[in-house]
This record gives sequence, structure tokens and C-alpha cells, in this order.
Amino acid sequence: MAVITEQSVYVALGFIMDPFLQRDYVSLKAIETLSVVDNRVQLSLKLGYPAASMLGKITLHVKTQLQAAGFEDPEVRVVTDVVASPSQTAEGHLSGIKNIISVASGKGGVGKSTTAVNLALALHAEGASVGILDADIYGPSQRTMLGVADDVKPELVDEKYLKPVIRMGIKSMSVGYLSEEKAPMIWRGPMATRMLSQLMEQTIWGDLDYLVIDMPPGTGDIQISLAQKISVSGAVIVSTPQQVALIDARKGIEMFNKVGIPVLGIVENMATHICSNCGHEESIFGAHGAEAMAKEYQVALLGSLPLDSRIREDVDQGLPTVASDPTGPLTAAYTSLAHNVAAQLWQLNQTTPVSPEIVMLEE
Amino acid sequence: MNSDMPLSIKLKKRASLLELSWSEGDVDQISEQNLRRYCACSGCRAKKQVGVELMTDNASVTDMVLMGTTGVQIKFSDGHDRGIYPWGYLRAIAKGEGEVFLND
Ligand SMILES: Nc1ncnc2c1ncn2[C@@H]1O[C@H](COP(=O)(O)OP(=O)(O)OP(=O)(O)O)[C@@H](O)[C@H]1O
Ligand SMILES: [Mg+2]
Ligand SMILES: [Zn+2]
Repeated sequence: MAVITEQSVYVALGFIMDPFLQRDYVSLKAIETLSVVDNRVQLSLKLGYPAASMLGKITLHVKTQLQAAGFEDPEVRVVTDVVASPSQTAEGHLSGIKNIISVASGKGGVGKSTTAVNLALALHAEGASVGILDADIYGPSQRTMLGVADDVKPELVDEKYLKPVIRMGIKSMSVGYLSEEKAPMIWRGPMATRMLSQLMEQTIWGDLDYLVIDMPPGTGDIQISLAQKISVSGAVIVSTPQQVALIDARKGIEMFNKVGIPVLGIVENMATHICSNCGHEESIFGAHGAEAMAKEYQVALLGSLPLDSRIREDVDQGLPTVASDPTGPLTAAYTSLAHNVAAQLWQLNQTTPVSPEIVMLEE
Repeated sequence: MNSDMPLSIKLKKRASLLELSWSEGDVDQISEQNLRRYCACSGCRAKKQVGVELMTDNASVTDMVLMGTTGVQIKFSDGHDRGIYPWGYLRAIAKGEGEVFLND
């Protein structure tokens, strides 16, 4: 039998692709440890996204590929560890948050809140610690979607800080949790931004792999300054397949590009309709609109969710689909979305350059 | 995807200049006065819309805070600290294209 060198294993690993990024594990810097003991490969891979339901599959895939490359009976271990975004702050109650994902859209009513809450639950189910901030000052919806009873208020600590409300394993905070007296009737520009960033900073989030932000609709000043103020790691744009929604989603991407907030990709919501009689899946407004747009802007198509009344009924009842039907096909679609979002963030976090140095010179 | 960050942001107080060094090797300079003038926070933009002059055009920079990887928040001696300047916007201001950047 030929003698195995670590170098030859590296070469082989350079051809084994991560299922979510279509990039090899060497370029992804995913090799935690690699050694050859008694002519047998011992490999530990470290992936930067939560993937509890996929670990077995990925392990087997890597093993099989290594065997095919001629390495007998390799020992493969796959672990996950979410990488912190370089844009994450080091101060206060936000310091334990590794990544902030903003779920945004151009148009209202396309399913941001529904997508945000199911994405958060799916990331949690895959093993991440997750929080959700409902930043929709026009119409907060997470209280309903998370099934938080009307009389539940976040607990006040030291008269200044708020404990998030925990539901289904995720921490949540919402404008809608604030008592009516405290929530001003009209929120405008700078005031809304300030209030929201305050709400976020005064929440005792603890350690989180991901904080998902359910953004208010639109791509105006409030949305931009909010996204900037809270140091969003990456934005997820939700769109429906109609032309009007796609045009607004396009504006959303351009807006984020302009202010330098990375767009992780697009989620196509209510894309297809599954006939309840025959099970046939059909595009409602012509297929591939979001896909074409993703290509044009060189961002990923992160997921596609069908129009399905169960998705609506579940959030209306305060038990989103991912929690109510964890093994169903709709949950599988949200899980796939979660994998793609988290994998894109991992890739981004590895490539983002270091922060500039700020200097104040007297002369 | 992410618009490029500068390597360093230097405030030269004596010269009243903000100097940005980019990874491509080029350097941009913006006067403190122009920085204040080009604040694009919603308040300042609203004032410009209705044609109100900023009374504090000459304010100097007192502090700069990185806003993640996207830009820098600049605080001025007139107490104004709302403005966040994305990297692309700073480049545009230096080139005299700040207006264009905001409007398209
Ligand atoms: N994939 C889906 N299938 C069926 N119904 C859906 C789907 N996604 C969202 N909905 C429903 O569409 C409506 C709008 O969704 P949602 O509130 O999530 O949108 P939004 O973008 O957050 O709206 P807003 O802009 O008002 O915040 C809700 O009634 C929701 O239950
Ligand atoms: Mg909503
Ligand atoms: Zn301003």
C-alpha cells in the first residue's frame, strides 16, 4: 500500500465541495486538524454554520470522497462553530452576538415576518443560539407569530435593561412588547432609529450565534439608518415573484449595496402554489424572476417557499411551521434556507477585510 | 459585494482635513467643513430639501466611530452626531460627487 502524506490528503480535500457553498473545504479553511496515523487519515472538519440535521450526511460524503480518492477507511469528524462577523460590536449587551441578519424587503406584505421567524426557528433547530428582534415600527407581528400572550411583558432589570421573551428556544424582543404608554403613536425618522437601536442595545441578549431582525417594510431612510446603526452583518431580501415586488426588491439590494451592507441573497416567497387536489406544483407569476435577479446582482438565491395556507395558519396561531411541523416538507424548505443563509455568512465572515484604523492627529 | 473599506481614516486637526487611505493605494482628502456640510442624516437632508442653510458649516470633528464594516459615524463640535458616512459616500464627497451619490 502506498504511503499517505498529509499533502496528498490536502490535495484530495481541495476537490471535495461543501454542499451549500459549492466550494472546497481547503479554500473554505474548514480543516481543523488533519493527520495521518498508521497510514490512516484522521480528519476533523469545522464548518461555520449550524447543520445538526446534515452532519451525518456531510461526514459520509467526505468519507466516501476520500475513499474514492484512494484513502482507505478514513476517520472523519465534522463539527460546527459559528464564526463571528467582523462587523459585530464589542460593547455592551450586543457583544455576545456573533451575527446580525436583517430580513428586509422593498415591498410590504411579502412575508418578511413569516420568513424571519421561521428562519430563526430553523437556525435554532440546526443547533444555533438565536434571537429575533421585531423592528417593525409600523406593525409589529412577532408577538402574534411567536404566540406571546398579550399580558406578557419583558422583565425589567435594573430599571433600564430588558430580558428578552423566550419562546420555542429563541429569545425575542419587539416594539410590540412595550407597554402602550411607552410606545409612541408616531415614529419618525431619527427618532424611530434611535428608539429601535436603544431597544436593541438595552436587551440582555446574552450569547447569540444569530440575531435575526424583522425589518419594517421599504427601503427608505429609516430602514437604511437602522441597518447601519445596528451593524448588520448581512441582509436577506424577501420578495414575491410579481414584477412590482421584484422591482422593489431590486431597489432594496441597490440600497444595501450603496451603504456597504452585504446582501446575502434573495428569498422567493409565495413562489409556487401546490394544488391541494393533485399535489401539482405550479408557478404563480412566471418562474425564475428572483433567480434571474440573484444572478444579475451576483447574490445567492437562498430559498424558495411555496404559497401554502399552512404557513399562514401556523404563524397566525403563534406556532410557526418550523415549530408546528418539524419534519414536514415546508420545514425542510426553511431549513435549507437557514443552511444557505448561515453558509453565506460564514463565507462572508472569512473574506471581510479588517476594519480600518481611526486616527485623530493634532498636527 | 461589500464596498471596499479604507485602510485608515485620519483626522488631521491642524489642516482640518479627513484623510482616507484605500487599499488600492490612493488617498482621498475631505475638509471638515465639507464633511459637516454633506452629513446625510435624515435631519440634514430634510433641511437641504427645504433650502435651510446649516448654521454650523464650520463645525469640526470631535469623534469618529466605526459602524461595523459599512462606514463611520462622525460627531461634530456643534453636537451633531446623527450622520453615518458609508465608504462609497466618502469617496463620492472627496470627488465632489456627494450630491450625485445621494440622488441616484
Ligand atoms: N409562503 C406563504 N404562504 C402563505 N401565506 C404566507 C406565506 N408567507 C407569508 N404569508 C402570509 O402573508 C401575509 C403577510 O406576511 P408577513 O406578515 O410575514 O409579511 P411582511 O412582509 O412581514 O409584511 P409587513 O410588510 O406588513 O411587515 C401574512 O398573512 C402571512 O401569514
Ligand atoms: Mg412584517
Ligand atoms: Zn446630519
